[in-house]
Amino acid sequence: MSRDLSFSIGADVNFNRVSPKYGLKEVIGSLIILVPMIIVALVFAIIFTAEVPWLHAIWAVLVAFTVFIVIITLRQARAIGYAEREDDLLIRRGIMFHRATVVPYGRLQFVDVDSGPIDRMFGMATVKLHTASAATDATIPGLPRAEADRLRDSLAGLGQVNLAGL
Amino acid sequence: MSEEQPEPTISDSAAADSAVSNSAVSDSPVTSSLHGAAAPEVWHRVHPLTPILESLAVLVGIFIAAAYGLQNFVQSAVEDLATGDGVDLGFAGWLRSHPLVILAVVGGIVLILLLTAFISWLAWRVMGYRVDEESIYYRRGLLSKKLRKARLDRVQSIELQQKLLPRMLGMAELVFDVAGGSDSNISLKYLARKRAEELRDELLAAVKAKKQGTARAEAGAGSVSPAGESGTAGAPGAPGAGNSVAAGTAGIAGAAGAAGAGAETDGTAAAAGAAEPGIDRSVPERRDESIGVRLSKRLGTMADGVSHEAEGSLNELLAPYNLSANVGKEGEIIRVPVHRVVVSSLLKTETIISVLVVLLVLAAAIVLLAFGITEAFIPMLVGVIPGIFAAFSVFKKNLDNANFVVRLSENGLAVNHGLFATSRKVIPLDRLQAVCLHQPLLWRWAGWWKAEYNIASASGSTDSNLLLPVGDIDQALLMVGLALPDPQLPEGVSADTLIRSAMYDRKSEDPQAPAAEALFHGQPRSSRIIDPLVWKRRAYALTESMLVLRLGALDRRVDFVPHVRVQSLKYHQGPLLRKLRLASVSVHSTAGPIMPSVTHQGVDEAKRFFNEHADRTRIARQRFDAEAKTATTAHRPAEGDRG
Repeated sequence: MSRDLSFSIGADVNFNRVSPKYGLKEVIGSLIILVPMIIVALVFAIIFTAEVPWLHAIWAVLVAFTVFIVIITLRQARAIGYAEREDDLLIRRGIMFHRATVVPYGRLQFVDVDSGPIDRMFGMATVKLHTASAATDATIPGLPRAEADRLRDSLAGLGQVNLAGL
Repeated sequence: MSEEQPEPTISDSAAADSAVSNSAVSDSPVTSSLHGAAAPEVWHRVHPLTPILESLAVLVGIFIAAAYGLQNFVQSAVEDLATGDGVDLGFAGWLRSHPLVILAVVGGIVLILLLTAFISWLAWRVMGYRVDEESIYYRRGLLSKKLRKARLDRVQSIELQQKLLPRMLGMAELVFDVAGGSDSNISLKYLARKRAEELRDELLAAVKAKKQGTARAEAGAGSVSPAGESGTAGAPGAPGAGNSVAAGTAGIAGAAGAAGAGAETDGTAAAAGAAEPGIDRSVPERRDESIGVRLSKRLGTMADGVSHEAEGSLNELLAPYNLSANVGKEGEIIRVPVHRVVVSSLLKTETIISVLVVLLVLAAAIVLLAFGITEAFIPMLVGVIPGIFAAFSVFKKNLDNANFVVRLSENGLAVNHGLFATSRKVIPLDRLQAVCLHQPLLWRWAGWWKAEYNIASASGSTDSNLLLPVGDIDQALLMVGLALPDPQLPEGVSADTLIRSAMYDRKSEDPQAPAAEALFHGQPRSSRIIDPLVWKRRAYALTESMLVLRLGALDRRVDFVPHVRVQSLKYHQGPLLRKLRLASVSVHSTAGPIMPSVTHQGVDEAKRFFNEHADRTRIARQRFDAEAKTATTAHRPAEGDRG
């Protein structure tokens, strides 16, 4: 299952993968919402099984949807890659929807490191890069905490050295 | 953002760096101790009519309510008369028999007025502003005191605004745009117009001198603006999230720059700045700077009011565009007459649609009436009224651009506009990030174009981003030319041919047109399924200094993004595009009306563009900053001599 699912951006770059636990964390995040929904649907279907038998279809659909989401999320997580190049940071993600973002270090305004409760459970963090443009959506999720801190410090240093005017 | 700063000194100054601080201040002595000014503070008062002008909205509301009540009374009286009943004067009669009530009411009104005047006076006494070498302060508030502070080197622009009522009384407000959150502007109101103009000019000079000092101290590390932006942008996020760490790339640089500036301002920079306010001689013209900025620098070295000299410079710099611009008195280069604004706003697609809807409903109502169905007539008329109001308000907003006058000034382009309420502002050309030309469908017969820009600023609202509300092609070329760097085209193609080619695809009779057209990369034929109308027109062209995007089949549009202003790039491709072997690349600019994107190119071309443009823009920027650096170091000794 370790085949490379990601697309090539054309440049000769070695991408770093994010933490293998990131997919698991995303799956848990969506299960937290979906599982209670399935349970509620199941309970209702069992209670009213005599009157409205098609209620069973709802939980069946929900289960199918959950399986679909889990597969997609796990695949997506493996497709995320980032590369610290000499002058810019390249982020790549998506299997159905290919997206690649390049942020020159000189354009960095500041760098955020975020980690939510589930993130912390897995010892992970998300690094977000901000430029003067609101359109820049350069986010690297699912980094091990130490790697996130290293990346942040490294980006901060590189950003300061290369700092360009607006 | 100071939480995880490595050095305490830096975090201190970074904290003090936040451009605008709101703080409750109980008394002015406290303020002075807060800011540690040794010299006695001089708080200037605003115009005494200010509190009254500010509460005028309430008074007008009361007046309208009273008028409405009176109108009701009169109307019922008229109706009574019309129906033959006597006018019901019962209440008037009751009043006549109780004169004390009238006295009480009149007394009450007088008392309220007196009280208002007194409170206004108290409020006026605490309102004030103060300018020192570092910052401008504005304080107000009787019960909840408020002190706003803006560092001069963070002020991005100063706008002089005159709303209708203050204008009638000869007053104006100064709005300071500070790089920060959307609510970080300081609005200093109200001042007598003359005083406001003086203060604006004084402060603009001070801001400019201050920024130069900082820029010099940073020694080419870039202009101050990014540090300012991030310093303030980082601040709001920091207290909330413990994990959110602004790495302080720019924050540190900003602090260092500010600290350096403090040291240096005392020396040469201050001397030079004070002697010749607002002239940036330390950094000579750079090739990738917009033509307008280079022009401003030249203007700085000229004596005042030498318009023919300015005209010479303007025409020399705009040579690639084959334009001959006239510089009128006070450096006026463009004036948009009222009638053109009126006609052009009527021809906008939105206006036409709303007028058509109103006419359609009216016609339907009349047809129904003709068939004798009277019940629907009145409701339909009533239903039309909001539509008319909406159309009118759009129209009125457009009228705000009447008398649009552009002047050349040392600080950028000075723009005056407005029919009833005038507004003045300076467009700082050195901070423009992208420019676009736009032609709504119905403007074609007149050949009019509209120009807008993106700017590095907090308040990137769309209606204030006009470079030209409506103008013919020469005016459009002039404004775009000023806002953009020299396009640096290959031999045999002039800039105006390229832009004309981008504006009117392939319909030009210029002999150079085929050569210009060859620079454009169109969308492949496979994109016709998703872009049935525009696939033939949409194209991008690259020059040495900028990216030109030709867009829009019905509403024509051309986007320009200088390489040195590109923030980041994004390549994207969904399943449908992959099926068609296409992909798009977005070019990220700051917030504003322009969101440039190279759409639906072939996959390989899109990938190549993505990789090459990333390098191209980065290298252009590095060269641009390096030029500033060498220029600064080379010019320093000369400046010392002068000082």
